[in-house]
Amino acid sequence: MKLEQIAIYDSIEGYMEQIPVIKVKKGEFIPTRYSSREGIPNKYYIINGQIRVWNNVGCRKIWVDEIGEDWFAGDLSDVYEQFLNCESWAVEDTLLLEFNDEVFQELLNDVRFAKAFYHKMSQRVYQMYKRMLMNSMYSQKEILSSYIISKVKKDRMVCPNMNALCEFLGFSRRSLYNTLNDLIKDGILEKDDNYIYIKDREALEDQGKHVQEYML
Amino acid sequence: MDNYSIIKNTMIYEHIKDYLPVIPILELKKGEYLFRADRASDTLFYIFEGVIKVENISYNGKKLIVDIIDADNFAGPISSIHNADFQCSGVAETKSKVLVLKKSLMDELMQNDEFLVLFYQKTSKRVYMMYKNILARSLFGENEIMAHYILRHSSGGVFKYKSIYNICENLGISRRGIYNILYRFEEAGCIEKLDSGYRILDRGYLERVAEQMIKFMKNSEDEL
Repeated sequence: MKLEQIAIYDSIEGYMEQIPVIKVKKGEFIPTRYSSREGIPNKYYIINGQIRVWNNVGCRKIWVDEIGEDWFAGDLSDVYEQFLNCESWAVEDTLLLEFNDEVFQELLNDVRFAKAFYHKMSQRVYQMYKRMLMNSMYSQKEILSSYIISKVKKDRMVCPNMNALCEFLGFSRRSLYNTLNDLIKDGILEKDDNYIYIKDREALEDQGKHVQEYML
Repeated sequence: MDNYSIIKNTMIYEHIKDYLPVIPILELKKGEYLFRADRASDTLFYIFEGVIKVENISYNGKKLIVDIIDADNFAGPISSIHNADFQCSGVAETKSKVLVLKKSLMDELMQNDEFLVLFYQKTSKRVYMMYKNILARSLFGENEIMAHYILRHSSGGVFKYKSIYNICENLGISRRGIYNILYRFEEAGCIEKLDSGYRILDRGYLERVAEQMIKFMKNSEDEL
C-alpha cells in the first residue's frame, strides 16, 4: 500500500516531518526495538506488512491479535487507560509510521484523525473481545473442531506447530493434546507426524458448528 | 431530579437536545429486558439512569456476563455495528431509564463527526475494559482471580458479597470452584466466615496470591 492511500493520510499529511517511516524485519519485536526512547510509548500505523500481538504475564502467553496494513498498532491500550502491556512482532517485513505521544495526542484533537482512530480501534477491540467470549462460552473440543474445519484442505491439514496453536487457541499444551486425542478416539480425526486427517467430516462439522455460527 | 435534568448532564446531551421531544424514554424495572439476542433490532439506547447487565447465553445454557453498563453510556446491539455480533441480551440490573435511539435518528446523528467520535470512543473504551477483564481470566488461575476479587470487594477488613451466584457470574468460576477456593483460604487462615461475608485475617496472604493480577489490573503503566 502506498503511504498516500492509507485511511489517515489526509489528517497526518501536515505532520509527516514528525512521523518517521520505519522498517521492521520479519520476526523483530516492536516494543523491544522502539520503545526504549526514554520509555516513551510509541504508536504505529501499518503501511505494509503484518504484526502479531501477544500478552505475556510470567510464563503465560495469550494471542491477542494479528493486524495488517492500514491499521493502528503499538501501545494503544493506554489511550483507553487500560495498559494491556502487550508485545508485538512482525510476522513479515513491515513498514510502519511511528508516532510519539506528543504528535499522537495532537492528532487526536483533530476530529478527522480521532474519527479514524476510534472507528478502527472499535472494529478491532470488538473482534478481539468476541474471540475471548468464544473461548469462554464453548468447549475446547468445539473450538478445536471449528479451527480444523476452517484450516483443512481436501480432508487433511499439515500438522501445525503445537506451541503456536496452544497460544493461538488459548489452550494449555496438555488440553490441546487431550482434545485432539478425544477427537481421534471418537473416530473423527487421525493424525501422523505430518498431517491431521479428517475421517468423519460430518461429525467434525457438527462439533464445530456453534463456534462457526457464533464467529460468522 | 426529573428526567430532563438528568439527561442534560449526560455526555450525549449537546448532540441530541434538538431531538429530545421525539426521542422516547423507556423505564425498566429490575429484571426487565431492554433487548434480546433472539430478537433482531437495530435500535440503540442511551442509559441515563440505572444499570444494564449485558449477557450471553450459549446454545447449551452457559451464561456469560459480557458487560455491566451504568448511566451515561450507550447500550443495545452495538457489537453488530462493529461487525462482531456478540448475540447478547440486555437486562435491567436496577430500575433503569433509557433514551430510545432509533436507527433513523442514529443515522442522522452519525453524520456529525463529533458525535461519531463520542460514540466510537465511549463504546470502544467499554469493550477495552471488558476485554482486559476477560483477558485476566485467561491469564490467571482461579485462586488469583478470587483473591483479587476479595481484596477489591472488601472494606474495613470484611469481604461482603451479594451472593455466591453473583460471584460465579462475574468471575466465570463454578459454584463448587468458589466454595473450594474460599475453603482453602479459610484453611490457610487468611479469611474467616462471618454470618454475612468473610473477615480478612491475613491481607498480605491474599495480596501475595493475587500479586501478578493486581499488577496487571492496575491502570497505570508505571505500576505494571
